[in-house]
Amino acid sequence: MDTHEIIARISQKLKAQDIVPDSERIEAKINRLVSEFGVPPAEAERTILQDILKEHGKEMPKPQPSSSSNMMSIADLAPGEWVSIEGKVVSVTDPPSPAVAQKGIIADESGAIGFVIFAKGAPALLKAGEWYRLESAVVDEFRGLANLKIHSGTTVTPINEDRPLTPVVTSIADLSPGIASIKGKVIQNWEVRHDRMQQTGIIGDETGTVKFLVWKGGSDQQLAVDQDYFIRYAAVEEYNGRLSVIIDPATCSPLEDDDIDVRSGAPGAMEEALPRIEGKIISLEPSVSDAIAAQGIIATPDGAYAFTLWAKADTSLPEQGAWYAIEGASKGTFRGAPRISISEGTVITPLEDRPLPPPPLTPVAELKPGIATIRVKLVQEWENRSDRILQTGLVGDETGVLKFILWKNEGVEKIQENTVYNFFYAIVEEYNGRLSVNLTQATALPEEESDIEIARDGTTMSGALVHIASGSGIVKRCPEEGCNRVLSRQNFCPIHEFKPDFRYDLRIRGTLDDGHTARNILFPREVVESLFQMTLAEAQEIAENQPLGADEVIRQLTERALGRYLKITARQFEDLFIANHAEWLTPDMSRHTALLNRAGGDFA
Amino acid sequence: MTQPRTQSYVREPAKRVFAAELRDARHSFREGDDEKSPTYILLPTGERSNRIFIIGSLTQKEKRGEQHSMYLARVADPTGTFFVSAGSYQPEAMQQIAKLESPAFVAVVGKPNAYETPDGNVLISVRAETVTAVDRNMRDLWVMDCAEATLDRIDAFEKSPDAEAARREYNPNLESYKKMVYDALTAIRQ
Repeated sequence: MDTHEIIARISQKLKAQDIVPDSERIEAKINRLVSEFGVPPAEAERTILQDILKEHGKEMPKPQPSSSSNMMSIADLAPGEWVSIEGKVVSVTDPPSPAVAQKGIIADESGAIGFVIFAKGAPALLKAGEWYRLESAVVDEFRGLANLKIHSGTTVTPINEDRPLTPVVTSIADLSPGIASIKGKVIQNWEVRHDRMQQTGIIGDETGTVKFLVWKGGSDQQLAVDQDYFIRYAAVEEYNGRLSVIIDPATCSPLEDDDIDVRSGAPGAMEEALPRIEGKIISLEPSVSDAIAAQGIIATPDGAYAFTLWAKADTSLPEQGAWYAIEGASKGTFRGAPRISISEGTVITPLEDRPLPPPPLTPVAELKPGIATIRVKLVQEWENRSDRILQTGLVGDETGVLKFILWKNEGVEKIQENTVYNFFYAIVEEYNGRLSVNLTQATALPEEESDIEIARDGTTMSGALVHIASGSGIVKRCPEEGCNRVLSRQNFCPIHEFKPDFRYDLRIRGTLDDGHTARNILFPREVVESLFQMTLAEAQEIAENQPLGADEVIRQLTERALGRYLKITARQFEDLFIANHAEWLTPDMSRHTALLNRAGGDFA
Repeated sequence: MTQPRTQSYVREPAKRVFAAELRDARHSFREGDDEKSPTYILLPTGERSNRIFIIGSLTQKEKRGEQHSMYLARVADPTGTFFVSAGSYQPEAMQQIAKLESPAFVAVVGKPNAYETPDGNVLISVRAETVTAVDRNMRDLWVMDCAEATLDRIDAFEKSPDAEAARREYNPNLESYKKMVYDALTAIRQ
């Protein structure tokens, strides 16, 4: 974000309304909104401008179409302006959604900008290779880049002459997000991993290399490896902190006379490099997908790891049960668990067989994402929601219970009730803040004539408290032995009638929602007291002495609780979960890293 | 989860969706012919939503009307802006917005609604059920939660029941939503 540019734009618009701008104050407001409150810069700019105009009793000016004589250079366009330009449509691409009629790039001598025409009220579509005068188009910002919006109020006039247009060539080291023309050599062609993608790989010039992408829907032409190309007006996008160039092959022309000497900087991996490891392949599931040749589990004397063997790895499949040395692999995170990635450049060498110490048992309460060996028994079997699942439910030991899943697979059998199993090398995953164990590839060893006492602490779940129901807060209960019913406001018990000698209690009936399921939760007094820092005595004091009484208790509890993330342990009774422990969630930075990898993994 | 037999009403879970994805949504549909059957907004990544949960920054609020007044509020997340409203049918949310000062981190539970603007665009606004002030930790938790939910929808796009409709209505570029998720995650302070 360029704070100074935002200040300049706000100041300019204030001056136009005869308001003297106070740069320092504007800067402070920008910092407050953007740094402190995480507001995107465009929204912050709009908010600040509108607030200051309001202070002076003025309205936000309606964008005024600029006059046709006032043609602008494309390089000077800034978001938020109404503009008129003359330029050549250098490429058009398939609309990404039915709401969009056309997308493309328009250029003049000064530079180029992406344009979009929305389907509703669209003026005529533009033709690639033609010059146009566009009057009253709007420059807005899309994902941090300026973009020209051609709408029903834009006047589109074809210019029937072909003016000279020379794209300025940018060297790869100098690329920044936007539109750029480059001269480069295709040095690598990668396997395409997405439906919409036609080609991807690496292109380089004397200054460096950059990833390129060709989306389907344009020309079917493939760029050839080792060929030099002049690529006109390609979109440069930033992703994952690195750039990629979106190429339309129709805008590329082979350079016959040049031979670009590519400066190769190895495209580094997102994951950390793994030192040489030696281990035994415990399980192996071949041909998972086109991109993945196999996945499985490898056990080393120091612990076991899940691994992914990518199809692009230049190595043959290892054998289950054999020992190997692996060099040049990398280690990343998948669903919170470390995972070894075997890809291009990884060397796998067979080793002679050797004994592997038996893996240590981990109590359920101490499990964390990764590979673990557990001794558990079936606690509860759940209804199957997918026909790919063989069995799902809860398993547990003396220390706790957790969800398990068995995927349908050859040789995989259901686990039986009343039997203690040892599962060797099970995969423990974290999903939505909850642990679960995948037993599909684990080796199951049932024990005869043994039993374990399952901890009945209940299940742990997390989510946002999205609703607090009536009947929450301070309540009065019937004092009759064994009754304990909640009395009405008039102290009336449905069984024992009027009971002025009631007992006070504190509780919250709410809904915990993890985005998939909304569960009814009852937080009893002890949990409410520790979680909300309000004791029953304090609640009683508020209820008896404040004008709003019990309503004030629920208002304060709502302010402290609603819309916040919680992790609870609860026992289930029919459709109600009764919490015996609850705590606020705090951001887990390892989860953050794992999500970044997951969102950016395919682009690494 | 085992579904208890006694349960007659199942509350709709509140979906997690970023502003930039909700902005792209325009298709709404109703399940069943019953007058009371819920209306869903179809998210471009292929899931229906009848209720959503968001945490963002309240940047502006505005009161409209005197007798039947309502509040309009703008709530920004790292990807864009949600348009939140609360009228006399949502008294709790209206009072909560009235008390808040911008800027502030807020948690909003509400129902997404599609409406057409005079110039023919479809806008999605969120009719708030509740609005509460929260802190930055909760905002960061939401960004991660929403990121994970969005990635899950993208990963399940081949097999989820609503994806076919999403493909027909939006033909979404899932890669660009993945990039949106990545960009949103980078807004969390390390």
